[in-house]
Amino acid sequence: VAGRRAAAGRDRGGAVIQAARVARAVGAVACAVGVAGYAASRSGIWWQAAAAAGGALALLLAGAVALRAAALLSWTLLGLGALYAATLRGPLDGWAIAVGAALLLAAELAYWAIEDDRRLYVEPELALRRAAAIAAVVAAGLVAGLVTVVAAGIELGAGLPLAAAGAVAAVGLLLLIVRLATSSSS
Amino acid sequence: VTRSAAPKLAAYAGFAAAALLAALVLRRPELVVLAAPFALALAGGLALAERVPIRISVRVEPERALEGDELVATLELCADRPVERVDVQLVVPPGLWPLAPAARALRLEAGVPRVLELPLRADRWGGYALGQVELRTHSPLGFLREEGSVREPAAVRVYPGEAEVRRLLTPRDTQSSSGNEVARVKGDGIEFADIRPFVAGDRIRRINWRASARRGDLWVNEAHPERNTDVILFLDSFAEARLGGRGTLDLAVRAAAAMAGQYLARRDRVGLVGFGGILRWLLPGSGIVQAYRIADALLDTEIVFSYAWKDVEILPRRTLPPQALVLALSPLLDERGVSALLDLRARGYDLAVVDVSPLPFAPPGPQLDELAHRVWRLQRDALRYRYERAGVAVAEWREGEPLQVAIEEVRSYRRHALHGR
Repeated sequence: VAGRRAAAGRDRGGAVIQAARVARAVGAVACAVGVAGYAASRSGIWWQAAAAAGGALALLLAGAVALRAAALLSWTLLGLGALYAATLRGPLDGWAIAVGAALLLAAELAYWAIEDDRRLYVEPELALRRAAAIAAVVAAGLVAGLVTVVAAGIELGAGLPLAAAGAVAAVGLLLLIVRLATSSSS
Repeated sequence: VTRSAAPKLAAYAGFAAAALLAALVLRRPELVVLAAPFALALAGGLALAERVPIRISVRVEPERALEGDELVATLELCADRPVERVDVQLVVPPGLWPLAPAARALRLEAGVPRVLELPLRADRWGGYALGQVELRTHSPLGFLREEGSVREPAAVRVYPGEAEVRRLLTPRDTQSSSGNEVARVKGDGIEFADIRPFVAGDRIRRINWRASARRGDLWVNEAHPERNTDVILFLDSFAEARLGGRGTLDLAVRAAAAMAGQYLARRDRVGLVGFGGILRWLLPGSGIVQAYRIADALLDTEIVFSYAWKDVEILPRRTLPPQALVLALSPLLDERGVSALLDLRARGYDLAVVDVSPLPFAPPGPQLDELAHRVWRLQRDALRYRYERAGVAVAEWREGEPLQVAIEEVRSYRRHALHGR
């Protein structure tokens, strides 16, 4: 018996968990690469610079997942969003819906990969439910993006009051973030 | 329970806010489209998050086990409303080893109790307080989490596994009650001792007719009576040598448990003295109740560091009855324990020492120079010689060796010393 080879994988299912974590990380990086590639394709003569920046951001995302550095993830998302924003010009880009959904999917998969803990046995049902929840959120995000694109096409006669309302809403959201991020109630 | 925001919450909210502000500044609706999925996920996640109290109960079966036995800790969780994900971890104290992951993530349905069974292996003797459970609940989309700790007392007592002992040390003197030990004195018994001339009052049935016929006078048989003995197990707990999860105290406790069980099975009276930083004693007694008392007392034995000088004067007199065999289990590391044993010998107690060797737990290496280690070994040899000169049988017992080897060494010394007297 002692001469036999050790059983494949780890006891307590560690190998399975690690494989799933790698798959989620690869999925997140693939989404990030997709967004970066699309941004590069819209960059015209600057496509090489955009591709390099997108590649660097995808690497940063992979590193954040590997190091379980959640703080890096938010900067990666902001970077990818900024890269896409830098390519915007001319008429409304309908593919923004897909870009938003891809960014959300990348974020969800990356956070899922970061939260995986090999010491924790996760019931298979939970993984299925989380996958379903991510799919639902991404689908809802696509619908929300579509509604926004449709709404953007409606002429409302933009003016100072509407811009001020938008600014107040954005600042309010920022304040909400700060409060939620800094407070923890007992 | 502490509620906190997951890193995801700040990231999503920050991204959505930044995208919305950028949309206003750059006048690009595409950035609102980017922000929309994140804002929607955030709003949905916060709307679905709610505080759900979870009830937990913990029990362990069996509550008493031997070293190496398997126990099962059962956790029952119940919540009035569904909990999307709850991470549960039973805190397992050192000495117990979980045979399955002690931390699990699961989902709770409303009002449906979930039962988790965690098999544990009792690696080391002792009393353990299981029952501390760490909990972490996650909101449906993982934006908020609540962490807390629950303590549901569940006590487990793990008794030391007994070392194998085939033959015990026989005390020099016996007591007055009947037992299994053949006394050296003569009296009513089964074991033939001698013959002597008949005197008035002797029973007819004790006459040795063959000897009487040969000598022409009446002679009667004499016998050794079967008596019980008093044995005091003297556990030196001033200091120990440990390496990893093993130590001299573990060996001593196992040996004490084994010998106590064997002596009690012979109807002897067994007492226990834990001589160390904390003094513990158990008056000699016999029977199954005494076996449980000794087992429980052994579980409480621990090394407590103390500078206080102690000698046998502080022991209550009744713990060391006269004519008792004092069987000491000591690593001979602390001068107080060494002196106390010599003091007992000087007071005339029948003393035998099993030196639970600390050498396997303190190998020479970076911390202990080879030369220093050799000097230390020589000092230990000198200490054993000091005991032998005082007429105390002492044998070294190392981890991995059968306890019987050490006992036989002590026995042969005592036999030699007896013949020499």
